[in-house]
Amino acid sequence: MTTDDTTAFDASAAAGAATAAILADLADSRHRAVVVDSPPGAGKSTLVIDAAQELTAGGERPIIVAQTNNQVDDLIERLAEKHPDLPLGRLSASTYSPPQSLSELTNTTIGRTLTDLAGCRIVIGTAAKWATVHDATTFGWAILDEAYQMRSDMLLQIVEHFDRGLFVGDPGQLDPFTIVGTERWIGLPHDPTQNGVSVMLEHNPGIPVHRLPVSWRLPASAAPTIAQAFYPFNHFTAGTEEATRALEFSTTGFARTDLDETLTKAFTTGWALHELPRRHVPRTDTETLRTAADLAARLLIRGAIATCERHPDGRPLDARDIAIGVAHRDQADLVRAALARTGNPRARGVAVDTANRLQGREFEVVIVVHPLSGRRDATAFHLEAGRLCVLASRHRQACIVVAREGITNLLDSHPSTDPVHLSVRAKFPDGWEANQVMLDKLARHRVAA
Amino acid sequence: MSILSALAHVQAMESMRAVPLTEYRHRRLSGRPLVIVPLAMAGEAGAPLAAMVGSSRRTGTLLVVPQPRNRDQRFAFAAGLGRIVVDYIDSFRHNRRGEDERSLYTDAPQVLVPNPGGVKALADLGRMCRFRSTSGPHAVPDVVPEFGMWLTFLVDRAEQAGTSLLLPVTRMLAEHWATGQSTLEDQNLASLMAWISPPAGLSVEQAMAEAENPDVCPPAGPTTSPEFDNRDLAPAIRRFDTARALGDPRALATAESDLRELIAGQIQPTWRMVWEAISLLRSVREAPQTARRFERDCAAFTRYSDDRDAGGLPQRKRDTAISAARRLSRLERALADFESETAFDDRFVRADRRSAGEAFAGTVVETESGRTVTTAKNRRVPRPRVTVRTEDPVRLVADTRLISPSMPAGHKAVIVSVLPDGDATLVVVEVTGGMGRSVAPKPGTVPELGQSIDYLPDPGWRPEPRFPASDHTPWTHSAGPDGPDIESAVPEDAAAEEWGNDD
Amino acid sequence: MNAPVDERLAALRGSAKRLDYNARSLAALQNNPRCTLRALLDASGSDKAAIAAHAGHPSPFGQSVFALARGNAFETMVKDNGCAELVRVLRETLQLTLPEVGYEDLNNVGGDGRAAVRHDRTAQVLLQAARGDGDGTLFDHPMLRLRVGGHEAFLEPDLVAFRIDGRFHIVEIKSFPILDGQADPTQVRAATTQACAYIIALRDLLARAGIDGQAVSDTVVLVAPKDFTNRPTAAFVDARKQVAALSRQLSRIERIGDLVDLVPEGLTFDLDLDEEQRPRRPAGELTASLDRVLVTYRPDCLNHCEMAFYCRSRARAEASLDVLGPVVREQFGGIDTTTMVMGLAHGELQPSEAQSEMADALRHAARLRAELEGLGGAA
Repeated sequence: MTTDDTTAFDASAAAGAATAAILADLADSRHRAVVVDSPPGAGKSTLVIDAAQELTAGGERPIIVAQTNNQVDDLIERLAEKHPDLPLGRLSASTYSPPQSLSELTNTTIGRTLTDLAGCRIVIGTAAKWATVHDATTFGWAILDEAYQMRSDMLLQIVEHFDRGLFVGDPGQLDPFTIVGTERWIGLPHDPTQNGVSVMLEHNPGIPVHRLPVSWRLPASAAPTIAQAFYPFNHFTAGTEEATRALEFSTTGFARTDLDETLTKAFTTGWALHELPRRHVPRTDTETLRTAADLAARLLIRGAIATCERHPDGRPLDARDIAIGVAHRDQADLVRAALARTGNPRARGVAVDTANRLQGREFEVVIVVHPLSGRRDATAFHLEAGRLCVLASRHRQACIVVAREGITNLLDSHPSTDPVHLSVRAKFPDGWEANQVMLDKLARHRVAA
Repeated sequence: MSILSALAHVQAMESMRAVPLTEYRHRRLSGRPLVIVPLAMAGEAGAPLAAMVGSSRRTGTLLVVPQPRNRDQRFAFAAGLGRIVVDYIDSFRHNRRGEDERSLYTDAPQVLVPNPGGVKALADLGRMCRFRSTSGPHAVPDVVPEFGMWLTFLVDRAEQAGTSLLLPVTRMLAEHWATGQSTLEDQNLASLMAWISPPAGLSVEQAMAEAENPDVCPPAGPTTSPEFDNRDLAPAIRRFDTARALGDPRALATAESDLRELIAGQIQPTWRMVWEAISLLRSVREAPQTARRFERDCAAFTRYSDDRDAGGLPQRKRDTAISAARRLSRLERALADFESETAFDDRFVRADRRSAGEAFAGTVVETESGRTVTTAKNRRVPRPRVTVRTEDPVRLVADTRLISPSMPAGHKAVIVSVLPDGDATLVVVEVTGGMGRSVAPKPGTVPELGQSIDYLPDPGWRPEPRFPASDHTPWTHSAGPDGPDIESAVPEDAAAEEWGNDD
Repeated sequence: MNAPVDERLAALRGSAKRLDYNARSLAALQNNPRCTLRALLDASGSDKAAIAAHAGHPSPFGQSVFALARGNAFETMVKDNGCAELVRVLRETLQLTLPEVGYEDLNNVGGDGRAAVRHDRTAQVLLQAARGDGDGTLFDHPMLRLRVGGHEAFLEPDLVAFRIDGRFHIVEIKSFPILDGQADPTQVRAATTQACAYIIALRDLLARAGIDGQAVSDTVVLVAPKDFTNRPTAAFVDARKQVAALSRQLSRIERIGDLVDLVPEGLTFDLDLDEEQRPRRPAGELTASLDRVLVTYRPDCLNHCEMAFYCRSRARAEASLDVLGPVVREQFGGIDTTTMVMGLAHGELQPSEAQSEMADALRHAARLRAELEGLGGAA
């Protein structure tokens, strides 16, 4: 227990020091912006809430900009829970219908214009919604959450609403993109297809950039691998000890031995690679997608008790604690259909989504359909480090990767395909290298199906 | 790419002939397009070698630069080509429809080049010409910068999906026909034509082989084949240079006409083939919404014409932060609109989306046409529901808004549920719009029992983004007084561009 | 690499002279590394162009005299007067504070242009510079050497290395233009990959003398004509990823033995040239040998590989979906041929269990196509 305490103390102290430094920079009027880079689950939301509270306490009336309606709702719920006396305003489009939990909040007003929210101390909305506000009101501070997922042209539409900005986000996740294939803006500091943080930093060299040092989400089994693969230059550690998190079955296994073997491997080591026979398949391959669904259903049938720092005595997992992550939308549709067919009505509650939509979310167990599984070739899309990073860093307890054998050979024959441009710094991590690190790790947790 | 288009390519490969990918031609084809076949010198940027230009197969003008490395000859060429192109463009600047500032030209020019490389060649030429000064030490004829600006306008416009002011014919052909070869080979006009319409007496295989033989089918450019360069062109240019150096007018005339003849032999096969491609494309019916897209082309053409008349400055070398964001938004919206419009118009394109589960077609097997609901404002409105049985692998989910090309304009619906029914799928759809104002829907506005119907997702309306004014670039996108000096990296005083040792 | 592998490779090449790797062919490793035929031909030092031509598929990779002349003229101009223009560009465009410039031409050593001699001289001069002795800043035509698959490859040096702040940088001089700060990505990529071969070779040279690889920067300087002029300009290229990728490919060549083991005994690509360099070997026999080795054809190969036209004709003859390119191919999962696609689509072939899902999708697609064409589609 002594070691546990020391580690927990160290992690908390490191995280606390980082937060204190960030808040100090916020108070320093010389900085037009403060950037906080956060690895997965490093307390980004907590920081956003603390900063909002701190700014409000200092007499500011900050705004918060998030990227999706879900993110806005989550932030409001957490803010309301922590600071029930702060009047909050949710800036929303006319089509928005609040979830039950949010409608019940007494300190939150939902409005379509800033006038509707005149009495609120903090106004929160999506970037897309802020872009439609043409009110001349300017706020002193904006907190921009998931800022690395916001495109530079979106920042341009909302920047006139605030004087100074706190940009918070995870640089290792997926970059924003455009469906328009043009190289017209490559090399420009204000390339509109780049993320807003990079563009802002490019033009404002003196901006302090902080890094959160501790992942509270990722278990000790995952943090070192994720850090090595996706954050080669920004080391971070897990906030919990190996022994703090644990998964146990509530029933003993029978039948379906390969699924059980994989689940056992994941429960005991935090990782499992469920490897299907080598075959080239279309991305909609039923066997692969059904296996992912079956693993989730099997987990629910067997039942699992999760122990962690929040639930030291254990808590049974239900469908909401599980996610299945894929690369393509059609795969997500097919996994949902497969879940419906497992015959377990609870399985429908499992979150199934693409990497893009899982960004910023957290689960106990995540099942990943490897983007390169069954492919003949590795395109830049499938090699993108951010995609794998999102998928492999959503879990608090365990991550199970489903893939067809052969990814090693695929990587071997597909060297990095990134285009090379003049005067543009290469983006790291390299997708190829990151995939390799993950494969090396997963090879040690392999279960052949 | 969907499995359906992929299958079309396999069909083409199996049957050794091109098969249609679309029902319609989605690009407008002008009654009087201007074809330009540009040739450039290998290894040199923006060194035009020749161009054949004209608005009918029989009236092609061949322009040749005898020594492409010579700056004066380059600009003499640019002026010659520029006069033809600018005259052609000016011929569309007569008839305007509508009142005062809002009036638009009723027609617009259309420049056609053989392949995407041709667009790039015009882009380079536009960039080379538009900043040139018409006075001072390196003065060029007035038409040169004017020509450069127009070319840049056309090239910029060509970047936007669905436009038709400048197009490579290979793209128009490949949009309509699937061949049994790769995208890369489809960029070779002769190879593409070999599949669609092989020369009389030749099989597709023979035509393909000839298409890749530079002695039979000279490359459509912009660069000429290395064999031609080394064997024919280099000696001919050398003879020209020698004759000029010697100041022998007869030898010079001979050398120049030899060179013209040589280049004519390289360029004419492509010229003829482009016109053949045009007449093939004319035989394909134009899609209904092409006219609407052409209106937007006319509007863009009118705006730029007026800007030219007002003496507007040449287009910048690179976009500013604000203009880049504006352009990106324009390009993204145009692409989304084009995809949605082509799917609405064209059952081939729709079938493509159906095979991917992004649209569906089927038969109405159940209707509840009298269904009404009461709105929040206490008004009773029709909300009929119909059940469509489809064999398509539907992936759309409840709450997806739909439009339908099988129903009168304005028809809107939303998916209520999607349920499997044996091998097929039952989609329950609620009609939400296009039924008139009364509680009883207008006749013909609700799908009827037994009717075949197509549905696809409604792209919906998105607000036009608003960016800061051009002269108010905010701090996040512009360097402050202490920041890096970005502007100096992209100087605008390009009229002073140096020319080095040209001869 | 063990001797038997080398012997097998030599047998594949036969009587022809061994072609060594150079920076260009090393850079080409990045294209289609999965192809067995290409790996064997390269590793054995066989003359791909001659083999392809004799097999009836001459490669179309001629270079125009205009491009060559332009390239040479530009390079000469940049390097004239002890690289005066280069120094100007490094100072003005890239704003590098080059100290006093010492120029060292390593093109030949007292009239001796032999590769090995030049390499020794290069090693001597560069190592001296790396240790801080000698006053060289610019090193023209250094002759570098790299061991590839057990063979020494001399890298033909059309470059300059310069040293600033204790680090060597590779300069690539190319004649494609940098137009408003941008250049053709394909050309930039090719130039960068070539530069990477030099970076790796230079690091190798230093490492043998116990000097850390960090002494060679992985930022390459590209010097090229500015806009439409003949005046040079320069840009930095961050080559970190390409250096890593090329290193991976080089280590892959070391595993050529695995591929050689799969080659049928007695196979050779020997053309059996006579005194006038004409192949005596019957073309049909050569083709039969080539046909026995696995190829991975992609349409993209047509841009890179001398064997591409041979491989394409082979893919066509096999009705392989490779002919249509990876984007089309991806739609069909594990199915390899058009015959199989059409058979499944029309229900004429019985799908295996693994294919049943694909077969459903294909039958649906075929029904749609029939419906569209039956209704009298376009043209």
